[in-house]
Amino acid sequence: MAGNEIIKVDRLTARIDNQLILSDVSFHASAGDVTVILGSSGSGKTTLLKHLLGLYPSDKNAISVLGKNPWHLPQNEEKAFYSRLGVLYQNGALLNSLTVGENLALPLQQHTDIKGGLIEKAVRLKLQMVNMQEAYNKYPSQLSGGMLKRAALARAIIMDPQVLFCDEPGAGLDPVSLSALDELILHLQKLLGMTVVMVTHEVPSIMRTADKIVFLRNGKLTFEGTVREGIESGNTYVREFFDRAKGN
Amino acid sequence: MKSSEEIKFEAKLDAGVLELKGRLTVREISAALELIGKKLAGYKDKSINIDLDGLDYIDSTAVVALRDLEDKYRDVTPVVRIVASDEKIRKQFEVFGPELDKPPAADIEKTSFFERLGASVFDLFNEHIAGYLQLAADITYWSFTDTFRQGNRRKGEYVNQAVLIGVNAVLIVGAMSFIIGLVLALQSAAQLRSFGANIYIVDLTVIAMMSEMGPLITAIMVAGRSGSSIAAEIATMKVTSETDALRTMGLNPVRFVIVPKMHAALTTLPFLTIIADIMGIAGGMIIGATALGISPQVFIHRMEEAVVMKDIVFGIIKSLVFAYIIVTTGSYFGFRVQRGAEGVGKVTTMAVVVAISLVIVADSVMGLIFYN
Repeated sequence: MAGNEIIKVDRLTARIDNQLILSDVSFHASAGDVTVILGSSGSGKTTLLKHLLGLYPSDKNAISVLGKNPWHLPQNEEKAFYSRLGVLYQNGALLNSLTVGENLALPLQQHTDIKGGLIEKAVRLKLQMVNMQEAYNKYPSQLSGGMLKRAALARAIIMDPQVLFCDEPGAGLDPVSLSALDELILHLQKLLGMTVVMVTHEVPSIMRTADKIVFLRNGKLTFEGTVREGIESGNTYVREFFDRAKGN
Repeated sequence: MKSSEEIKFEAKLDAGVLELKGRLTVREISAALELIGKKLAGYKDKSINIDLDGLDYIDSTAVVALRDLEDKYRDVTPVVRIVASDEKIRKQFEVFGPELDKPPAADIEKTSFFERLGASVFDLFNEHIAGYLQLAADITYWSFTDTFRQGNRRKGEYVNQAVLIGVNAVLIVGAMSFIIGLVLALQSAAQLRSFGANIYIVDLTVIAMMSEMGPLITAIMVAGRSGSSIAAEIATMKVTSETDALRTMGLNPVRFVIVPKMHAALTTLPFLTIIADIMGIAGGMIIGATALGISPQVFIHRMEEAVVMKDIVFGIIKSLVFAYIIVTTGSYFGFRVQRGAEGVGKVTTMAVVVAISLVIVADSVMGLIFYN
């Protein structure tokens, strides 16, 4: 449904250092869905995500996130736009010089008029939602991998974003922690009514979370649909991807 | 030595193409390279294609060896190009490196020295100078505007940076300046004594420290301490996606990370320079008293005559320019980081080397402007 498309990518082609990374990629993500961008290493998943976030340049009509291309945003609209997005980075990307509490408070201090006491309450609430209350005064370097991801997730949802982007959330996590993180993301998605766009190649994670998959291979979109459609489709790459992960 | 039967390989040169035939594996490669080398040595044209279509088989070592050969002959005559249209051979090459060119290849014109020089200058401008100027303009704009917009400042960050860049450098800058002042006066003392011009040790020390050595020593020390730390901090933030995270939180990394450093450097470097001047003069005073018999009272009295406001002002102007150079250079190299930990180390070293070089160049230029 066209009105439901919260993210739209239209014939996106990207080069980095004259190397073609993405070629003619088109897909859309619907509001309220978990859309997983998958593919093997080097297929262009993270590059695509960085384009969606406006970190890499793109043609004005090639990308639309919440109706705008973030690369072409006027400076005075940046704060308002990015306050509607949350991003969970692969390694957390919490600012190491700040405590977890200060990391979470940062977007609130920069984008709102909320004062100190209320900011602390909002931060503690979000930490509670990811079961990390004890991390408020800790520095990122004092957290384990799983805790770091949860703290980063808390920062990503601090502004109650409309869209949550996750870049390889499972990287470096054991299967149990990964499963717990997936459940947490799904729980928060329902709680906050977010649209989730996740980049991953963790098949168990995809099976648990994806409403829709966007499969990239060598920078080209090879499949777009549900996981079941992918597995049952005649697309050998998609089938092989899931089969190999299952050990078939 | 292998017999000719063991080496199942041939190389035939015809009309700018060296055709290879047979098997080319780890066993044949040494002899093959020797044979190819001989053919190339007698070849007079600018470029030559080595065509692999006649090969029955090529292994990974031979692929690496041919790639290496191509690299070695990239900038010499004849320029060597490895080509193949056979899919099997091409696939073998793709596994171990970039895609292979297809024959027949167009003639490769060797670029002249001036073309390469031009390209290097263009790259230097395009990659470094334009990038540096762009970032410096960004930093200048935000440093100026954020001075007047309190709401955009990170609480406590300016003080934090002022302590790191300025206060923590007082001891080292003071100690080094004292030693330089001491040595400067010591070296001059013998010469001045032989002319009976002992009292001029005061003028020499005061003018040298205030107009030249004070600002320069301070800038070099701060470039080593803070320039490197600015580059390393920004590079690490970039490598760990912290700068991306700031951008996607709607925060400008230049304003968030660099502007407080710029404000801190611009306000603390003049004070550090004054401390360096005082400590250097103190060093000169000690040598004056011990080696030339000039008492501190006489030294101070003479100093009052030797000190010119112009020298103090120029010294402070220099320190402001140096502060700007140190912060912008450190930031520029920090943002240029390419690969993980190795890249951080590399840009940190580059930041210090370039910052110190630019400080010395700027010092010379300002010297010419101020004292001409």
